Amino acid sequence: MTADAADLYTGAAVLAVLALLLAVPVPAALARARWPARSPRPALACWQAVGLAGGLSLPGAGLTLAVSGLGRGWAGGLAALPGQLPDVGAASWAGLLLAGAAGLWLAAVTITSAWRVAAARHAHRARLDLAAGSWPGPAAEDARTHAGPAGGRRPPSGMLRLVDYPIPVAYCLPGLRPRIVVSQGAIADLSPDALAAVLAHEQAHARGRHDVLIQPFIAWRQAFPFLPAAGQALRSVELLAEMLADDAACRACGPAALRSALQHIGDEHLATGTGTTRTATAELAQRETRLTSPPNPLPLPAATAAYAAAAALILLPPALLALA
Amino acid sequence: MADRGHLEQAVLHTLWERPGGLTARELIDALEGRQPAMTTVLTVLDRLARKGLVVRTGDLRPRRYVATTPREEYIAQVMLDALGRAPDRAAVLSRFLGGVSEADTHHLRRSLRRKPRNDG
Repeated sequence: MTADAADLYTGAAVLAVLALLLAVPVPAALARARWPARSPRPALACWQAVGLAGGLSLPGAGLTLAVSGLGRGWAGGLAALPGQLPDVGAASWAGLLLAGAAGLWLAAVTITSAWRVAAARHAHRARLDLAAGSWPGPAAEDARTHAGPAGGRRPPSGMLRLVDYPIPVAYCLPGLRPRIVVSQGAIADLSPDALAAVLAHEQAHARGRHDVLIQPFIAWRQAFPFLPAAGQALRSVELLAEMLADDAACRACGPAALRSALQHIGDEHLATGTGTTRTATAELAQRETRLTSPPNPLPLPAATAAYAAAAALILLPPALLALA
Repeated sequence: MADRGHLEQAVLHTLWERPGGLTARELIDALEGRQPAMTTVLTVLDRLARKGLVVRTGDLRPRRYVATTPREEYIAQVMLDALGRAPDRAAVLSRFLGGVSEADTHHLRRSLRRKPRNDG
């Protein structure tokens, strides 16, 4: 029984250390690493694991501490905890407090941030649908003929919105009813191939639900704005999603078309390199380098190892605790 | 739902083309394709009015409906919403390239300041 309790105290300490590692050094290292640009998909899996395990380990450490003194193992202790509340010691109360505070805070921020983003998206979609030309209109036919070689693979027209606006603009409004928005300026400035590449890129965002991969990290940064790692994590995940979409566009239309699109829309937007555009300049440079000299994807064993590490990070702590 | 959205869009686009405004009857006649019922059009106009995009003018019946915001200005507002620097913007939608330059924002602001047309 005492050995059991000692195991759980150790478990709580390990989880606390894990929470600390996942909050600072691990995301910093993953953000600095060069291999994610070679294979964005396993890298994104690792980021999801870091985010999920990081979010669970802190309240998990508190709960484990709370049941340590009960001598019934982890699962049994959790079940018995409510009945024994009046008799548990200070350590259990501290653990409960930590679990409750961390758990509630993370849950509240996750829910409110997802809600805010969904509301803003909904509002923008409603305004956009009123502004975009009726479909299929004469302008829409333009986009279709322009989409040229990738015509067979262009987004379904229900998803496409053409906006009568002179500046080249292209973006994806993700969701259950996604919108891919292209301005007349983009159609005028881009070659047919480049436009097809832009559409393929945005369609990859919409199809792959990249917004769902990014959302936890928006919540994370909101929950811990003082953690530099949270900002680094968000920027890395966003850039990896861009690379994933670039890869899809390359497969559909070739790197030359995508490079031309990046240069046209890029030049327009990056003419003045001030403030927030500096980040965009760095991002553009990385994406262009990836197109001009594509890095070798991770060999299969390395990619498998990355997925395995991601799975282990999420599954190991609860599995070990359940055995305790 | 999709149909109602299409009608809302068609009504707004028709009113954008007639800065002087239209009565509900004239509006129905101006719509292309299958003509909707009067009650349907009045409901759509009511919804557009609640969004602040359409106002009813005049005391005499039939009332005229006028678009409050010219088309270019409305589109510029939506684009500013998409390209602007609101902290959540990158979360809400993913732009082909993350940043937006001063020049773009200036262009957008300028087109927003442009006076609405008074002709018609």
